[in-house]
Amino acid sequence: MKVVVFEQDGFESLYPLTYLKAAFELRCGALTLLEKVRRKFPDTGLRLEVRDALAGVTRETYGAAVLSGSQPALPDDDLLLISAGAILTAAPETYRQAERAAATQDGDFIWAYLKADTVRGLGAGSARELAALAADRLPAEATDDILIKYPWDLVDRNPAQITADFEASYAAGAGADPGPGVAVFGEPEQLFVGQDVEVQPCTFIDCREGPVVIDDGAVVHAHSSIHGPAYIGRQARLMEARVREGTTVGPVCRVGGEIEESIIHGYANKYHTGFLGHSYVGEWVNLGAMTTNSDLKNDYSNVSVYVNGQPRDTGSMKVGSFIGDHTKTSIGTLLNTGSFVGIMCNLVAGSSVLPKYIPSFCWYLNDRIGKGLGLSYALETARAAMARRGVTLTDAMAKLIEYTEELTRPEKMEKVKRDRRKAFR
Amino acid sequence: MDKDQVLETVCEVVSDVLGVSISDITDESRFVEDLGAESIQSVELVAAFEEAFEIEMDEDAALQVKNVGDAVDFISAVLDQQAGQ
Repeated sequence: MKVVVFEQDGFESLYPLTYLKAAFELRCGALTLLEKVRRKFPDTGLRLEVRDALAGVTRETYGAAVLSGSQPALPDDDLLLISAGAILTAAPETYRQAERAAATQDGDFIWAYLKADTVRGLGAGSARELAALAADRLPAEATDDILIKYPWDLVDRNPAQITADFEASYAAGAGADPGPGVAVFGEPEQLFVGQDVEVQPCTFIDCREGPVVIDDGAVVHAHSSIHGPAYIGRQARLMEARVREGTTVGPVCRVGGEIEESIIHGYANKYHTGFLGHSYVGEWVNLGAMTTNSDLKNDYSNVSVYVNGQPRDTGSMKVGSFIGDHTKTSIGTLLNTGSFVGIMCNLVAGSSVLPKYIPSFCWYLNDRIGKGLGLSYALETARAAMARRGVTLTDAMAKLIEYTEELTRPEKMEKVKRDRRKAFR
Repeated sequence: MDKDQVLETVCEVVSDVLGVSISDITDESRFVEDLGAESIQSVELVAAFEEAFEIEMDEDAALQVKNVGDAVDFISAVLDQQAGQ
């Protein structure tokens, strides 16, 4: 059997998080969605199918496993097709028990298992096409498996996924002493401390409500507190941070201030004081000191978030901000409840909270959305930021960023022109 | 709009955005080195030029404009192009 993880139609619903990466690279819990698939099927051949624009960067990471529209080449084998946004919860052997397809209650495809003969007989040119045929022709199966469809789904699921990832990947090695002067409340077996971790004295770790993972190479500075369930990623640093329950701090992040039920994907900085709640922060984001987001409206009503340019009711009262890769905020920036901030934005604090929808590549300055300094400047800034962590901006990624700039330019210009009608200065 | 008029408007905008006296602004005045513009003010300058002249300036091209004289030439070219459309 081979596993094929593929991007479905609807990846735009996960913008701004999926402009520069496939949904299976998003993080929920300790791991990305793809890492969870690999953990469940460790010895099974894997293929990844992504939109053409992502093929270059995805191939850089995953090599020949990557298929794209121009090179579908489905394996000639029994196939387990898995949507890029899926989180499979059952034992691995159950997925190959019989040919069938599983979907959400709304009919969104999650996975399907097909025998090789069936795959050949259906004659599909891609995993997307094959999944549609499978959903139509195979027996349907009710499932508890999860489909991440919107950005807030990642945040909502994060506490349970941290616990699930702890049980699957970290529990066996838990119970180590974090070091002198560290106060641990709860069962020691609910705390995992990786290799080369430094937890400084006067750190408080509370595992009573959920497990805490401090992964390899992380540094927790004195006077930090971590309330589980929480995941602190490889080589991350907590700078007197207050990490509340349900938080994932991805690898190589530098985090201070208060964070609650949020996911910081990786290589991002929130170094100083400020509140981040119920949010997903993309890679290479820098949140300036005192950047704070709202995650609760004053009237306790449901929060809406822009999806495909339209506000969508999340069904939840607690929803923060969704911030695309490489965006920067100035000191004192205030983000509105349910904010959508595209990639490569530069936000400068204004006289009140910022607009809820800020397209990619925009600057926010003097209380209005503007064009900023262009793509070249944005790429140079990205290169400089990445070089500080020893990472190179590859040609494939630069090409993807350029493609995304073209893709998002119309909505950016619409917002710029609308804001021009406001008084300048 | 002839180049003298463009220069006059450019100087007014620069004076307003960067807080410098118009008498201190010449054709050779460099925005960053001579007039003290930082990145945020560069963004403000482009936006102000666009408003003052009712034009759209390509951000990457605008970033290559280093002094007041270059700005006059650039804006004049955009005005000519837009007039011809």
